[in-house]
Amino acid sequence: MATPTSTAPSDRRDPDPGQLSRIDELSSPWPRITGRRVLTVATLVGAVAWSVDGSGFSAGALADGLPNIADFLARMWPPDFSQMGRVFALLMETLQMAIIGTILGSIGSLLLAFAAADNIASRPVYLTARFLLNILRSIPELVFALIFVSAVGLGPFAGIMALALGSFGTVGKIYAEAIEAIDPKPVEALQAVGANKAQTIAFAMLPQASPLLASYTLLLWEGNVRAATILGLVGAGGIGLELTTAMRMYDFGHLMAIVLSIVVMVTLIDRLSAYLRGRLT
Amino acid sequence: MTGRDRSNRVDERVSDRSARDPGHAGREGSADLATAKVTLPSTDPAFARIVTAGNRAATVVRARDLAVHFGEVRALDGVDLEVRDGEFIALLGHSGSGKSTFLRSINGLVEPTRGTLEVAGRTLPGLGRDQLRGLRGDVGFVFQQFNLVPRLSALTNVLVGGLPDARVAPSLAYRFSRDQRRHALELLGQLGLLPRATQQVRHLSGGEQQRVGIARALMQQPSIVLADEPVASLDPKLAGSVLEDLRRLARERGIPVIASLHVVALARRFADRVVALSDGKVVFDGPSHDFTDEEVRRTYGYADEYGTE
Repeated sequence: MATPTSTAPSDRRDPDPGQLSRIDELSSPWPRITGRRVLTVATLVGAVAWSVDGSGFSAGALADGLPNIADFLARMWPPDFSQMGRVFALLMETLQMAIIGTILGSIGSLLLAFAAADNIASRPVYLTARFLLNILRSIPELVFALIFVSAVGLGPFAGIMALALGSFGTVGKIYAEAIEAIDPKPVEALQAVGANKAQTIAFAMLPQASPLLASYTLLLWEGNVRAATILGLVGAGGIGLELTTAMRMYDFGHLMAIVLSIVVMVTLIDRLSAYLRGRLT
Repeated sequence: MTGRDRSNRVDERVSDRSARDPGHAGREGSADLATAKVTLPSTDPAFARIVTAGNRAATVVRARDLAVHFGEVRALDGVDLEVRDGEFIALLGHSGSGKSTFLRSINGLVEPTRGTLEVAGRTLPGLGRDQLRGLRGDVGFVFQQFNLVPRLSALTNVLVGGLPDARVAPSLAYRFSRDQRRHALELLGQLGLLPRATQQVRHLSGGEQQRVGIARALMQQPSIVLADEPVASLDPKLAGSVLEDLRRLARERGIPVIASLHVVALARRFADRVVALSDGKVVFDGPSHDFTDEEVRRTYGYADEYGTE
């Protein structure tokens, strides 16, 4: 029966009845229904139902409102580019705020991440840093902007500080997780040569984590460009003030020009960021 | 190598040091590692050891009734052993016999539960944190998985071995002295890796990576080199050449090497001395040519010299 090329083991044993029923069970092509799976699906369905109910989501209302959207968009057309010079200058200010905010934010986030990585920090430091990050993450950037406007006055400087603090909450934790995910073997080697802790971080940990850290930093920068466009709402610099003023003044042509300009800038930055991230690995 | 040869070499090192190294000047940059080693500052225990060596080869490691217990597990259970300059020792024994624990206790990664361990003039247990760092700086360690930093160049990975000697602030910005860089490059050259110096080590072959690991250990100007299964991740041809490098290290530079191996044939071929462990106890200690099939059976419980069943 067995050909010379057969891979069947020569010492094959007959399966006992328990094995046979297990083979029958696992060979069914249909997903197995387990208590855990039922619980997972029920939880997801429940969460969606609860949210639809509470948030007043209504497909009907959306369909009824479609003509109004079309009407609003029609009033915004054509865009009015007559004040393009000022729009461009404000866009550049927005971009500059995002760049400085991201640099300050990523430096601070990295320092916090050292304290929030369980392969660097002691347990009390780790828990304190994680707690601090949770607090920072739950405060909206607009609140930071308001705080800094009252501290340093109206203008882009307040916006930069808001973006920097907002960054801690956004990437502090994922930086820490990138550091925790490194291979511990080079760390062991650094300890074995007698290097100190700072040297171990600089030579064994950061080089391993750096591609991920750089990638997250670029994503943070993209996010900060978008966030910076609304900080002007509370007078913290950037194009936001111009945007809200145009809305309040029903200056829809100008509003459309601003929105289109933001779309172009955000798209260009997303492309640049994606290109840079692609070159990181 | 005879005792007389060894003592001559030790004397040479001492006189060589006094002749051309009144201070720290010659610390780096020597192409000849046998002389590079003597440029340690006079307060260094390794130097004191050389001076007091007298006519015999200096003892670098002395374990007395060394025991390491992890809870109920007796990883090492009363090991007495001396390691002298210039020896290449193969550490044999089945998995769990205590080989790794012995190596790790020598560089202070595990603490003795009982007994003492003298390593290059320091006595364990009882070292403070800084003394422990000093000890580790004096003991080169070569790992089975190389434990290099994959994204750093071969040169930078070797320079890592010089971190304890480098000034801390510049070192954090990856700045090393010209002498240190020259020394690292010379080591790479001696191991045939100079063309690879600026390449990231993740692009190197396994054998090349292990040579970078050896160069890193040598960069420490160690009193002893420990190698934990240094060739277990390499194919047989590369394994032979890496072991040859380690043997030359012991013979030509006088740095004792202890390598744990799991292939008896490699131990017989390359090592001067075999130390076999079983259940944390030394069951054989002698010249490698005396490690007969009978001894293999006593150590492993079977006689296949490849130790692979």
